[in-house]
Amino acid sequence: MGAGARPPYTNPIPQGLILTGIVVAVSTTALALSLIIRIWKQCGTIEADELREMD
Amino acid sequence: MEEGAHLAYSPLPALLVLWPLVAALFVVPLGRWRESIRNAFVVVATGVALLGATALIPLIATERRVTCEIPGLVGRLVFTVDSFSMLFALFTTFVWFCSTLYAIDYLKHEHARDRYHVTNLVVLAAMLGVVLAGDLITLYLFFEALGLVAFLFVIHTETDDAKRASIKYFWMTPIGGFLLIGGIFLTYALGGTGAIGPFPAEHGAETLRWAAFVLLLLGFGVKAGMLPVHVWLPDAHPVAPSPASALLSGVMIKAGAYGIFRTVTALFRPEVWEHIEETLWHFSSQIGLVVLWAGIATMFIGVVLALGQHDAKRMLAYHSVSQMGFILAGIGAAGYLGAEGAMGYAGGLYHIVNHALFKAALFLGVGAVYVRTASLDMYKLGGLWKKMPLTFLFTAIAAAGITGVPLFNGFVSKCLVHHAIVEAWELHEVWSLGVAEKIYMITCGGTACSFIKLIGLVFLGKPKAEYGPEVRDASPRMLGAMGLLSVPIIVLGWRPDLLLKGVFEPGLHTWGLESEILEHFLDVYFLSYADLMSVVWAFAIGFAVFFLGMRWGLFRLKAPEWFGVDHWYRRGAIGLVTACEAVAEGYEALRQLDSRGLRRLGVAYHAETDHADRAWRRFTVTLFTGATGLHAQYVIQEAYVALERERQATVHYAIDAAIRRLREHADTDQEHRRAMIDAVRDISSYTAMRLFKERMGVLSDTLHVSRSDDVRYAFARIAGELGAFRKPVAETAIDLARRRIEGENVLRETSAATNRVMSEERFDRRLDSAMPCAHRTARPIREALPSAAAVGDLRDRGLGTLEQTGKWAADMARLIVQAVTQERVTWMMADHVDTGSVALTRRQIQRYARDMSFNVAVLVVVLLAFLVALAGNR
Amino acid sequence: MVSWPQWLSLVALVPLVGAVTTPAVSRGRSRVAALWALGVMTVTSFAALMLILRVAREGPFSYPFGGWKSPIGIEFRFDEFSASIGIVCLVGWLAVLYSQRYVEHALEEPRIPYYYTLLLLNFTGMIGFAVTGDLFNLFVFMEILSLSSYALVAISGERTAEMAGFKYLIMGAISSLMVLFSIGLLYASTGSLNMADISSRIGDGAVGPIPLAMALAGLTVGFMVKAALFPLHIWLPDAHAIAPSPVSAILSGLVVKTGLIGILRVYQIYYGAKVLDLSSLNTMLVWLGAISIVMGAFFAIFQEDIKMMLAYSTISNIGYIVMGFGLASPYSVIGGSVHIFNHALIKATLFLAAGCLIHKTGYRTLYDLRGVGKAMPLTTAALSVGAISIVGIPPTAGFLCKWYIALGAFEAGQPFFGVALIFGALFIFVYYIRMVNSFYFRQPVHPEFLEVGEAPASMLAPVLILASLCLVMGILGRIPLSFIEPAAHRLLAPLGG
Repeated sequence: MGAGARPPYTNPIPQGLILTGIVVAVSTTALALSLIIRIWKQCGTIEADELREMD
Repeated sequence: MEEGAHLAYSPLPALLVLWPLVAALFVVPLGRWRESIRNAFVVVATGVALLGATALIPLIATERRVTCEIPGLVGRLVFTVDSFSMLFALFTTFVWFCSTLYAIDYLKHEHARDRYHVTNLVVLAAMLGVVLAGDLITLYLFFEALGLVAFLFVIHTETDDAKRASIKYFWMTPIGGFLLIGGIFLTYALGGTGAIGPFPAEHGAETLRWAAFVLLLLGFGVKAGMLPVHVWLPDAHPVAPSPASALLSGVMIKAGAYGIFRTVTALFRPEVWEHIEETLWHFSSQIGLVVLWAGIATMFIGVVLALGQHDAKRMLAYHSVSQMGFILAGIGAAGYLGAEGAMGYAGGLYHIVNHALFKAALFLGVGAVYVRTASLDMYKLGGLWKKMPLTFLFTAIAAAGITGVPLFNGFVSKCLVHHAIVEAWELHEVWSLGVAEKIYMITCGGTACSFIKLIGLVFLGKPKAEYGPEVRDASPRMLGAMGLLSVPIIVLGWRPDLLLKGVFEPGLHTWGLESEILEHFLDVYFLSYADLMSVVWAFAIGFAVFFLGMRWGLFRLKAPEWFGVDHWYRRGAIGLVTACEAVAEGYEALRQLDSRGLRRLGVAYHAETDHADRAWRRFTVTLFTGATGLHAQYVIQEAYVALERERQATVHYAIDAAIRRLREHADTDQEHRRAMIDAVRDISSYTAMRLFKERMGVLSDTLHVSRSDDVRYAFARIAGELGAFRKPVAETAIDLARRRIEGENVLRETSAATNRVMSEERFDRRLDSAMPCAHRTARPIREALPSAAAVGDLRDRGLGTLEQTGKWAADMARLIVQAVTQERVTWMMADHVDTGSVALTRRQIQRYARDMSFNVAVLVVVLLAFLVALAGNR
Repeated sequence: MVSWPQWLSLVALVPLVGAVTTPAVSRGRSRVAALWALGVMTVTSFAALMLILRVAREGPFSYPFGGWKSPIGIEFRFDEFSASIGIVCLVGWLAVLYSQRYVEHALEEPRIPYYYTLLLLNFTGMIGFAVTGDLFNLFVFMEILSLSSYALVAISGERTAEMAGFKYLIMGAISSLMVLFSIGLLYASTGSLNMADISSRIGDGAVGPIPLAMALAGLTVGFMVKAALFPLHIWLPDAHAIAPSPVSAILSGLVVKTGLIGILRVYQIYYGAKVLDLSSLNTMLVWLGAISIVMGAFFAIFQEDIKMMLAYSTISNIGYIVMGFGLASPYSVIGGSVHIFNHALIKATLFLAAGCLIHKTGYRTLYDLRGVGKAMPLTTAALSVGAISIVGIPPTAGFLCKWYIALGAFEAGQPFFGVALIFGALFIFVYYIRMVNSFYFRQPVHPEFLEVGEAPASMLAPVLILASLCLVMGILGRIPLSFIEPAAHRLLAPLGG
């Protein structure tokens, strides 16, 4: 986006960045949640203290 | 030093180092094919190496120093050869050749012969690399390779002893390597360029110099078997096969000696052409003194320990330690004397050569005995000279060499070292060096004694066992190898000028030192009366100790364990491990502490919120029920449930009764029946509700004045009786219902009937009578209450109004809340929510996040630290 | 014939396309998936080789996507540090080969195609990270890499694996966030995302120091988490020890290095900045590196689990590299950069060999593995070569880098760190000698070992190739050193180094 752009136009780059960032964050969260669910299924708890005792 | 002035280029040194490596590649294929060809090949390979080293002689004679470089490999490999390096290369390849020749027959009863021969050649390459190295890095590389590959020699037999020794070896060697490379680092810090030559003058602090020197000394000293770091040597050398022992003890420890020699006489000396100024020699003469004393200590302790051994190879290994002491003393004297140190140089280096020759010969001789008799215990052997005459002869020559019998090589070098020490003593009149000289003489006596013992016990005397025909002289090739080694022992004893004039003089000139004193030695001292007498003295001491020792069993004395350096190393290692573990545990404890701290904080937080929660709940419950105490609230809760059930049961009973009645009068139509049942439900509900409220009211009133446990008890007793009132309620309800259907207003009658039932029941009285000691508990409470007069008094003073207003407000609030949320009283009472619920899961995730938060906190701290660092620097 | 710069886009796109198509191609057959992944890696390796040859001949070059010129369009840029994709391809190829037999036991059958998908995605991330010239693309590739790594750690589906993966994920996500914010900050203050462009704009001095410093701190700390430098290393031992062995080799050998390459990129962006003095950052890196060396080695001593031990030694080796960068003298930067390469070789050797042992015997503690040297002589020999290399005993690969870093310490006038380096090596030596001791010199606890024999050839071959490379790289160590030299000098030029 050059310097000549007039005010009604918004800079598309930050929007692209934010969108990509959101995609990344969503996939990270999805992975995290799936891991949490699997841990819950296997250990019956997601309490850090209890998990540590299980080791 | 004038770089380049005497540096001629020649590829010979590099070829010399690379040749055995290349040859090693062929050993295994040849061995697979035919053993005899491989045997011939390895002998030829070492022979070629020997020839190559010999070819250095004319080269060095004309060029003084030659150099070459292999740029690509491991950074950059540089080789530089001067007379001293050439000397090392010569005796190395010579002893190697003899040992390889000997090994062919010796190894017939060993396994993994291919591995031995590959190791043999690779170690030869490494050894040549060390002595021909042109800079410290090249030297370090080959030094380390030497240590690592020679490990295969130590472990070769794979017995338990060998494994134990090799573990010790494997600990000591790389640790020595680390010390060494630390020292080399520091030489860079001192302004060195890695070349084996003096540093720029007066560069770097004195402390740094000392640190570099001590690291280098210890690093090389580990390999050389110098005193405090010698512990691996007596274990590792004897367990190897004899030809390998000969190499380990004869040649490889010289790599360490070579390093110390270069450290003292090349690295720390002043520039070659500046030696006119005495003060510049100050530092190198000090470190020379250190090395000298290290040598004296090593030789003495080594010989004392050697006397206590009964295993012949172990004894020889201890003598290697002791003989290294002689060498170090010579090198030390050379350093101490500085510019006039020619005698020390000559003594140290001459002894290096000699020791390589006779120690190798001794190990080979003892090995031959072992091959035939399968025993190494000196006290169990004897009289072998008849059975193995040539072995005896060669061993005796070597023993004569090591003990310094005149006209054998040891005599020359020992005299040279002796003269060097005496010269040092006389130069500065340091009395301590006089002591050193005395220790030197005693050590010579000890050495003599040891070898009298070896020869006397093993070869002379009476056989202690019957030997069969298998005990005969060694095989020709083994004898040939030993014979080859014996030749220079004698030659160097007769003609010391070969080395002194042929090698040392040009070498000393290269390094800018004078050598007239060597001429003087040859002319005046060699075979002089005084020197001969010193040998006589040494042998006198030796014989005396031997006979005394044999008579009184002195040689079997065991020193206490704490006497050995080894013991203290082990203690130190254990202490170190304990300390390390303590640190690790401490760290773990710290981590535990902070996670526990966080957890405790969390628990405290939860306790507080629980507390507040409970207080709030009690407050609301108090509002609902008017009962202040926790127990009273529980009683109310229970009673509530029971009475509520009773209420519903009453209504059901009434409806059931109505239905039964209607069935009896079967004539009624459907619509009438439904109207009837509805009316009964309405009326009985009203009555039951009134009863319920009355009973609850009575209960809470009683709770105000009695102990809640008593109330609970009493209620439990009378709860069963309440069922009796279902029937009258039902009858009244049916009766009234019929009248209501007929169009009558039965409201008043209902109320009256309810009152009747209540008066019949008299719940309060029942409860009162059911309480075991109601009057007793009730009285003190009544007495504690303010009397009417007191209340009036209070009212007069205006406080009562406030109190009354408060009570009224509380009552009103209670009623309002009760009206709105009556059904939920039980729910409010519940202490905890269901464990499977979503709320709990969410809370647990939060707590896991809290556990992670420590990590995140660390992260943030680091981030802040970075910011501060960046900001602070602007 | 494809023209030169297009190789650059291919090298990142081929594994990406390969990853996406793996499940479709294999349709659940694990052997097909393995072969497909191997084929994809072969093509990628070829492209990488071409690129490296070109950079060795002509120096850095770039490829603008869609023909848009650099500050506007997205650009891939290949310089000497990008040549690390060579080792990614090499180790990656061998790890894929190795995986084929290993995962048969370690994973459930239906998961295997996805395992290869994740592996290829992982390589995509690493390659893209190394070749991109665009800061935001850097972030995207980093996230591809990180997400696939989290999943790979947890893929075995065991309880501990999932917990380790989760721990890794939390730390990784936070660091990614930091990097993202810093990139945003840089974009806001300079108006560009192209690294070379940002660098020149910073060099102009038009940008104030505060946003720059904040972005620098965020980027550095973010990448430090990825690289597991000392105070931020907590996630590493679990994740690396519990993952399947080929994954451990990739994580330890390659993935943590992306953090280091990230730090290098940060340096490349900032080296022209006149408003900021990087020397304080250097001091900090040197200290953290030194502490990493000692702490990592120290904790490794007490590990019984062989993979745990290797994981801790990764921390100390990362310390060496970071110390090399922080010393900021030509020697040490060269040494550090080459150690990225060499440590990848060495650690891959060690993890894959350890994987062979675990695969065949089913045990993983030093106690249980006693006496295994007799049963699996080739594997344990490879392990010993790796051990000697990582201690830095010549003539193996580890020596020259450490030597250069130590020389750099003297060059920078900080001999203390040279000593710390040797001290660390001593610690490392102690725990590797424990390993060698227990493999060769102790009586086996489990006598059934003597019958197990070597691992299958497709597992043994990568181990042996890597072990021999450890030796070859030690002897021919000069080549990578001289390769990286111009880049190091360019990096240090503004410092007057």
